[in-house]
Amino acid sequence: MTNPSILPDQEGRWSFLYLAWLVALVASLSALFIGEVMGQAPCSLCWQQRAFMFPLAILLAIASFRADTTVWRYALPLAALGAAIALFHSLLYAGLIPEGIQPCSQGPSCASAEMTVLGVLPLPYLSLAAFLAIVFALLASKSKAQS
Amino acid sequence: MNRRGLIIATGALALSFFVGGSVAYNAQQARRAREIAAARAEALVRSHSADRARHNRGILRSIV
Repeated sequence: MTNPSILPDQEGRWSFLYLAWLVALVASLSALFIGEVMGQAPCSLCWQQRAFMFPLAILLAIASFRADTTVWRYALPLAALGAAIALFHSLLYAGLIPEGIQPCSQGPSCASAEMTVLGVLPLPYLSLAAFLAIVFALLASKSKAQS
Repeated sequence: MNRRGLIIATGALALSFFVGGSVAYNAQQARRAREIAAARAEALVRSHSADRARHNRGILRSIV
């Protein structure tokens, strides 16, 4: 039998976990759509961000399914590192990082004007927003878990 | 709906959107490519007809 005093708190923790998974799922499928269906080749930094976002979609799906709110221990480092790369990419896109330290010397440019979706939304900023949303959702589930 | 049902439904919906969106996008691109090819073919035929008319006029002038 469930304890009614614990149930709302667990529900809140799970909701943040579910939200984090939802963001990771949409971000992963969008990255796949832009890269594989629309044929926009991912740059070097985009690949690095994919490497952190794709595992999050799987990890958070399993954690949400099992209602495992302790997953932040594994998911938060992934999301934080992805956010750091996305922040670097956003600064590069905004022109705040000198061209001399750009890692995209080969392959598609990391800061080209074509790096937008629907012609207006820059992909690096969207990526940063997604990673930050996951970080905040995981932190919220963590703080609720500790309270 | 319980949590697991919600997760399965969300995943299925997201995958459906992905597959449906991919099919729709590819169909749109194919339609656009066909329209461009048809327009090019029409322009080619028009240009070829103009060349032939010019050629025929030249022959008529040489005869007359």
